[in-house]
Order: sequence, then C-alpha cells, then structure tokens
Amino acid sequence: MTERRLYNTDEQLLQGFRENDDRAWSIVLNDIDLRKMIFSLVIKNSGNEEDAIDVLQDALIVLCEKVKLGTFELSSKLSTYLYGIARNIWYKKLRTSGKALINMNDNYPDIPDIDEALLPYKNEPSGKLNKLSNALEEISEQCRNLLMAFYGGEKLNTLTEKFGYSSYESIKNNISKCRSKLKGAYNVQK
Amino acid sequence: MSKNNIEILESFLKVDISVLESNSAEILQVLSSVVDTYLEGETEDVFNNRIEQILSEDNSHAEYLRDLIADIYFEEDTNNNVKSKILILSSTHPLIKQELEFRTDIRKLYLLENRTAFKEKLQGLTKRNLVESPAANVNRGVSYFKSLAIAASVLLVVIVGYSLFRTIQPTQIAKVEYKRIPISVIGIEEIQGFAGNETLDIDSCIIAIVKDSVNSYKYWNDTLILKTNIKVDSLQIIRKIKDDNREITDTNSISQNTSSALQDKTYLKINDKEYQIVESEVFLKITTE
Repeated sequence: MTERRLYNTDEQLLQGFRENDDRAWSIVLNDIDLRKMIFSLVIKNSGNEEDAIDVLQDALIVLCEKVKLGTFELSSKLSTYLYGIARNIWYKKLRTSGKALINMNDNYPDIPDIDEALLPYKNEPSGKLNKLSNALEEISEQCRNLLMAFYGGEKLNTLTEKFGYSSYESIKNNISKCRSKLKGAYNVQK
Repeated sequence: MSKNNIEILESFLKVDISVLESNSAEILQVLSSVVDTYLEGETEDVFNNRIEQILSEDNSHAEYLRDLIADIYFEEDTNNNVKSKILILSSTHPLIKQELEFRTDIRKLYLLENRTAFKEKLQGLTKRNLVESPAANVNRGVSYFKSLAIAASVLLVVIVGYSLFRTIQPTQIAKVEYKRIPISVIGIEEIQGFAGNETLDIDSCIIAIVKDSVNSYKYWNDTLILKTNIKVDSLQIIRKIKDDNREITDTNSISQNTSSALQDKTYLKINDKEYQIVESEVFLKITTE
C-alpha cells in the first residue's frame, strides 16, 4: 500500500526504474490490468502462463534499458508501452519458433524503435559493441570494472566506496586514465 | 567584479590540463556552471560561438569540455531541453557525437552484462508476489505423474460434476447470467493452454491468474472448463451486489431487477476461496486479500 503512495504516476515509476527501486518494478510486474492484457495476448497465441510472465519480465527489462540509455520518452501510458513491447517480443518469439500468430487483432500499434541489440533473446554484443567489448578486455580488470560501472550509470559516490578510492577527485582521475587506455585499445581494434 | 563567461573560458584554456586533472581547481567549478548556463541557452552569442569553436578542436582542453558536456547529458536530473541542445550540438560536432555514442555503447554493454542478474531479480519479485497471494499454498505435486494427473482429473470431474448437480443447482448460475453448466476439469498436464487446443473456440477463451490455484478457465458451448491442479470439493458461481463496497445482497437473494448504480460482481468460489470474475476482461482477480 505504501508502494502505491510512492508511485502514483507513470513518471514516478520511471524515476523508480532509474533509481533501481525494487518497489517500482514490483508494482509493474504485479499490475493486474497489465497482466490481463499480456496473458490474453500470449495465451491466445500458442503460449502458456509461464510464457506470459516471462514476456512481461522481458518487456520490463527492455523498457528499463531504454530508460537507462536515456532513449525513452513517455508518449503514452506506461502499460500501453509495455504491452507494445511484450507484443513485439512474443511476435518475434513465435516467428523464430516457426509458429504463426493466431489472434493479434488488438488496436495497439507496434513499437518500432526497440533497439534490436537490446531484445532479450539477442544477448550477445555484435558489431561496434563487439569491438568495444574486446577493447575492454585489453585493459586491466580494475579499469574495466570501473569504466563499466561509471558509464553504466552507477553513482560516483557509490563507486568511490565500492572501488576503495579515498576521494572524489582520485576516482575521477582514474576514470579519466582508464578511459584513455580504453580509447587507445578501441582505436587499435578499428 | 567577477569575470564574464568569455573570460572564464579563456582562463580555463590557459591552465595546463594536467593541473586541472590533479586537483579540484576553482576554475573547474566555475567552468562547469558556465557550461550549464550555455546548454540552457542563457549565454551571449560571442561566448556561444567561442565555445562551439573550441568544441570542434582536437586538443585536451576541448576534450575536457566535450567530456563535461557528455557528463551532463548522462546525468539523471538533466532536463530534456538541455539534452536536446546537446544532441543538436552533436549533429554539428562529430567529436561530441562520437563521445556520446562511445558512452552509450559502454552503457549498453553494462546493461547486457547485467541483464541476467536483472532478470533474476524480476523473477524474484514476481515469485514473491505470488507466494504472498492467498491461494498460493496449493499442493502442485500431482503434476509429476501424467497418469496420476489424468486419474485425478477424472476423479475431479466426477466430484465436481456431482457436487454441481447435487448442491449448486439452486444458485444463480442458471438464473442470472449463465446457463446451467456441467463442469469438466482438465488435468494440468493435459493441455498447455486453451489457445493451443484447436478443438476449442479461441475467441471465447477466458484466462485466469496462473500459479495460484486456477490456471485458466473458459466457457465452451455450455460447459465451464477449468484447468486446475487443486482438489475441487465444491464449486459455485456467485453473484453479489454491493453498495459502496458494503455487501447488501448475496447470491441467494439476487433480484433480476437490480439497480444499475449498485456494484454487481460475480465470483467463482472454489472450496472456500472466492475469485472475482472481472466481466469486462478475460481474467480472474483474487479478492480474498
């Protein structure tokens, strides 16, 4: 009940996703109306309850990744957007397993801008990401972990403690040095 | 008198970048504030032209500025106007664009690397919620043995069918909205989902909450088919009339001429638990919270 007071709007939920708040995820995962829509979609189209839950979780992952990449703009209800992602995920899963859609005649539009690299069943980095991944392997583990965490969006004050730095300045300097090493390794990859 | 924006920028350019990196020079804080002001569109044209010229250069000061702008772009509390300005800037300054893409790609790798852990977290959150639900303590052991499941299903058909004809007949099932319904119970192992069973009419399929006690149910012709793995000792469909959440009428005293202002809810009652049937949607909602 407290959760509902904290997250009354879609914007508040999005902020909760940015801050990695379990309560925000929990509200979406257990939203009755959203579940109804996704269960109906999946079970009418060759899936079962487990698939529906799985698709809901995957849709939430895609949404959270878009939020964290700063590429998400809320232009409709969050539940509508999540349903759209779930629909695309399930459609693609059916297609890859050689099954056809039976019943998709809802009025929800496709969500065309989902980054292919972020779709849940396409986990391996490819192309440009692959080069960057290789470059990250070339630098020290400490540097790699520091850069991944910092550019991944973890807060600097958390990282200072996590990586055992004495001050804000020292971690900033190390990030800068590690970044130069990474750029060097990345340019060699090219 | 304090320095103007241009003077601050020029002071920054005169300081060796290694000095800037080795301590928290005051100039950096002032510069950071000026860059913020620039991105918010509140600086004069002379300054704007100068900073944009510097941002195109390939030297350590320019890199420091680009880095600062990229930092601002990825900060959580940066507003959309500033982000848009940075994106516009990146369209004319390839090095800024490159920096934004570089960071975005690292973030993508980070998200990909953490996806499995994130998925597990979401699974945990989903599971926890289901465990807390009132009907979660259902014995699911029968599903290991298909033959036992089939036998149990047959037994359940008999029990529920008998139960319905013996005790449920006088309820509102037939009188209010539904035809009298013989009950058939299908074992959990027998079908994966009604939609996958071609002998059933997909359009009439009704889906229920899963993992609790009822997996799904549907009306098919005159038959209510339950997909469940619980032992069904009794089953009723009950209609209740409520006024402001205060129950005023129960199933046995329902009038056909109820006021439309009253809240009319239908429940599927299995053994002692009631599940609300949400009539506008194909779903069962647990109401025993």
